[in-house]
Amino acid sequence: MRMVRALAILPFAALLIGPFFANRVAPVILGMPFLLAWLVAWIVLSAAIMAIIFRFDPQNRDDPS
Amino acid sequence: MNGALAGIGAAALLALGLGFLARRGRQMGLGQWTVAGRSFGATLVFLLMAGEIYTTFTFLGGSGFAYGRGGPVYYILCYATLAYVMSYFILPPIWRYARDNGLYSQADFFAAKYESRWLGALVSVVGIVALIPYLVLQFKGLGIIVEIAAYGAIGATPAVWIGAAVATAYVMVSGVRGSAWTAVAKDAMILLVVVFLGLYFPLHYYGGLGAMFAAIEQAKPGFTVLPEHGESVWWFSFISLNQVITLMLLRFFSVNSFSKQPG
Repeated sequence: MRMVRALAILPFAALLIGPFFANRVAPVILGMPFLLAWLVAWIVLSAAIMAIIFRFDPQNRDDPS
Repeated sequence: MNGALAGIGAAALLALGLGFLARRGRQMGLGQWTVAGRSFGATLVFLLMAGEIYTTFTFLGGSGFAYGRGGPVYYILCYATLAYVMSYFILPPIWRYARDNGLYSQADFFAAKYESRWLGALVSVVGIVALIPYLVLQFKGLGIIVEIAAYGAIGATPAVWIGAAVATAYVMVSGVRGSAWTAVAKDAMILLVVVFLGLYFPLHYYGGLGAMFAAIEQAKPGFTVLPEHGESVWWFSFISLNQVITLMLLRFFSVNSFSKQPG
């Protein structure tokens, strides 16, 4: 299940490469220009992704302290 | 004497008081002073790591950048998020190594890991030299904020001296516990102010967040996204990635060290 860690590539792709495709004002989402909405959405998704990784990564089970 | 002055005085006293009280009931050995015996729980470390990103930059640099340049300021959102993602992979191994070898500082880590006292010394010197411009910027920002907030009743220079004296005093007395507890107070206050103003200004002046962005778009089309030239998408991605590394190495590295658990 260490493979679950590969999910962490997604936030990097979305936030660093995503803007090349999301650099637009329209459509406005929740009052935000599309680029800002895209970034904010991915910040929330990044937290969710890290929660999934934390839950399934065996690294977090073998530490005694 | 005005209300703002009393507020600033109270904040400085609060910092000093919290900083001194943080020492209570502890024998201050080097292990307590530097990493608090690696005893901080998950909640406190969470608060400290979240609070690390709020500084005078939040009020001056960040808002000034947003006002002057618009869209490119979003890079702050990206690098902070990505630095936390990366810390999941890098910090736990460093934490374990530091605990197992009884290390206290970044310099200790490099000295032990690469078995070279000289490398440790070099890391110390580079760390201190690199901190000087950072501190100068932060104190400069503090001076400006205090001078404006006190309506000129305290000049920028005395404000810097008072701030530096308070910080030096509680760090000398209580070590990392002192800066941790004042940081908790600082983070809570900044967060309240930022969230309040961030919602209040758009609501008060435009009637809502969406209306504010619409007004900006009308006044300056394309200001809320990245420009074609200059601070373009290439700039954006590069700066974000660059900042991830900086934040990781300079700040999280040390916050991590007094955690009870890895990471």
